[in-house]
Amino acid sequence: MNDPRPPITDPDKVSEQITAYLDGELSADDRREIEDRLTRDEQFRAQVRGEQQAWDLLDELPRTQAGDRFAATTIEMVAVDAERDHTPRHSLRPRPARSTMLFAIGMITLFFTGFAVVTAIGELFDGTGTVAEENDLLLHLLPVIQRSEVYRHVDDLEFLRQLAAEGLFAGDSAKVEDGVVAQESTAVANVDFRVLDLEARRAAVEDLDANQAEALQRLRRNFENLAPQKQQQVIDFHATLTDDEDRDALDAIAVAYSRWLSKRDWELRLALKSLPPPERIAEIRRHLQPERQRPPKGKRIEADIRRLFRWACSFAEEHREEVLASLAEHERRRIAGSTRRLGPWLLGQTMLRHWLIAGEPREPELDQASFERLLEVLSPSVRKHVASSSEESVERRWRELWRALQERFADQLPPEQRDEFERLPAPARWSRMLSRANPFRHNGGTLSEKQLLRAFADLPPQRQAELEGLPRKELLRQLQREVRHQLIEDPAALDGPPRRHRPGPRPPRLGPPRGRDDEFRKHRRPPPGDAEFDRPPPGDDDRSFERPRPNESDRDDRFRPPPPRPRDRPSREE
Amino acid sequence: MVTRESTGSTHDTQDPDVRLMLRVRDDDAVAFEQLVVRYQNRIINLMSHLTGRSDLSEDLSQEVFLRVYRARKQYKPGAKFTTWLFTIAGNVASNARRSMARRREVNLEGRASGPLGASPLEQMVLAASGQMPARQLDKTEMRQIVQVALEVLNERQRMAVLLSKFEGMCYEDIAQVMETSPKAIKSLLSRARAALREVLGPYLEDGNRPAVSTS
Repeated sequence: MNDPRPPITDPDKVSEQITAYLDGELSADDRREIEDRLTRDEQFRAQVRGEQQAWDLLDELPRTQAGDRFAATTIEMVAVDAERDHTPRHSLRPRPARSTMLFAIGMITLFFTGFAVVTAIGELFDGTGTVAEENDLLLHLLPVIQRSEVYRHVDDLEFLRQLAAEGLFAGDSAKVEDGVVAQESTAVANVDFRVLDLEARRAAVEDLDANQAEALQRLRRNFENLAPQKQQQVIDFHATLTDDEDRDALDAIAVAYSRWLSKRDWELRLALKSLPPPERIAEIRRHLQPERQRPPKGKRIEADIRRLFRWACSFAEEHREEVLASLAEHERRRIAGSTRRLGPWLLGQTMLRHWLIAGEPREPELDQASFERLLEVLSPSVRKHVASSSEESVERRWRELWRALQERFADQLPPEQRDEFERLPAPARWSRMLSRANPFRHNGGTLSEKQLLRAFADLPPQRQAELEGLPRKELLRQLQREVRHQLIEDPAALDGPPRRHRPGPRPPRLGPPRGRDDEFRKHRRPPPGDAEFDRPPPGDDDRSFERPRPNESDRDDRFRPPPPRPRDRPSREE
Repeated sequence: MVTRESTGSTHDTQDPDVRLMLRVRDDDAVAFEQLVVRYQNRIINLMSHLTGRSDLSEDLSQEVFLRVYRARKQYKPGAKFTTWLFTIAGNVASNARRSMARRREVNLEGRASGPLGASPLEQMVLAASGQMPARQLDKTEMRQIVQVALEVLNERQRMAVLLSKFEGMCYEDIAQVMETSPKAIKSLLSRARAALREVLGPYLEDGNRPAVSTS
């Protein structure tokens, strides 16, 4: 038996012991001592409870999420830094006076902290000009800052001319909205500061909403992060481009090129920047060729395939008895043995398979009204292939529809796959189509972790909380099932345009869950309650205190709740 | 007694972040991007709470990642990656606080109403002075109260609390980050908890708004 130790009476020491107990940092002996005291000392119990409750309240702290472009701009910033490291010290361009650049940067910073602040601290700038002049200087720089993302990638007019001469990116310019700023998220794209005089710029800045101001601030920060020489290059380049007679055409190419480059990986961007224009263009051409030869993604036909499948499942469910009656015994058994969620899908898929083998809809009979409902959900381009006259038989219209789907699907396949596809029997063709339309196909039929994380963020809080407590494998399994169901139920979530173009609230981002599901979330605890303290703590024979921590490798960090304290966290001194 | 392994090779093979960082050391851009994505929210939140300025948290976090990148060649996998990362974050936050304090000496008139309105601390002053109507604390107010409680802590206490509470770090790791001993961390956290209890006590006991001195 252990020798009884004298109880700790110093209030500071007691407090430290309580903290260490709650943090799971006590040795087994010390922990037992605390627990023993908890059972017999009401005041002590209240102290521990108060401390734990105050600690738990920290869960209420507001959480900040990374902005959509945080990672991208960080990488950019680091790329610029890396580029600066590789820039020869003997710049070809005359280096501007450092004081001038600092002044300009200072002005930019001041500008974005607001005119009021500029005015308030105007006296700090004694001798450098009036506040109005400083603001004017800043307003002068606005068009440069606004386009600095483009100019960072393109800083040579001759290079732009060569791109134009080679016909590169010229055709892409129309795709760039307004040709103003090539930054995806920019909310200031609808304001072109170049065409505004100083007063109009001032007014435009004052009218910016929070998102636009944030976008402009981000551009400002990026500009600030450029090396001074680069900043001067950008300013010079802007002036040269603005004065050029082919300004609009070259500008559009610059924007399109910048956008293309921003989607390439960091290493390629750096490599391209380090090449002189002729080699750079050759390299760009080399990268562009395979991209342009790639067949279109054909999202719309994939969406139509999914819609047809959904419709078939729903139709089969409506005529469940008839469908089942038409199936072979083994097929019925398979459907009966499937889960409640999977059952309807299997029923629809089996029905379609029979129709495709027969070459037309059979058992149950496809009526005009149901067929019209199917057409309604398909895209107009597919619909137009189907005879519009309702005088035509449903069977014939169905065959036309099926042919249109197959042809459009085959069109988007690479030539070598197209032949193979066309040689397949109809059910196998359908399987191939469905497989390609399957949003999970990129990962062997399962959702990627990115998709799972995104879907996790979409789940209701209660469901998120349930999942968070599970071991990693179980969590992923349940999430896979949940999300598959969710996506099939709501294929619009996949069929719509890219999320950033959709109206309405912003979607959750890819990447680790954020917001309510951000990294802090993993530390969420049940609300403070008395239960833990109001029951007597277990004695030494209660092995729940000795429960080992779950296997680290079996849990996903991003979903993992904090190590429970104090009960489940073993003392490190043990 | 169980001896804990803490050799570099252990971290090298077991900690995926260490593996990522080693790739970053070898100039692997993809690995760096993965690290940023993996830690961006944690760092942003840490910076936000350490400096009390959520509006600066992204900038400061970028500074942290930039420093990670710049220091990549010096990185040695001798400890958990997080201790190294949070040490850098702590330094950046500390510099930022000093810099903000210097600026505050020059001019802080405009701070009373920032883009998000008065800061929670200022609201608390108003509340304490009776200028705000007494009413049931809602969720937002509760958050503000907790934020105020956090602001009551000194810089080191706050860092230790955030690492313990939100990063789940043990005393030994926190001690490494803060370059002190686990014993000192125990004492630091104890005082921090006591301060939190003192500020949050009135709210916990009867739901009243705590009166906080903002000096």
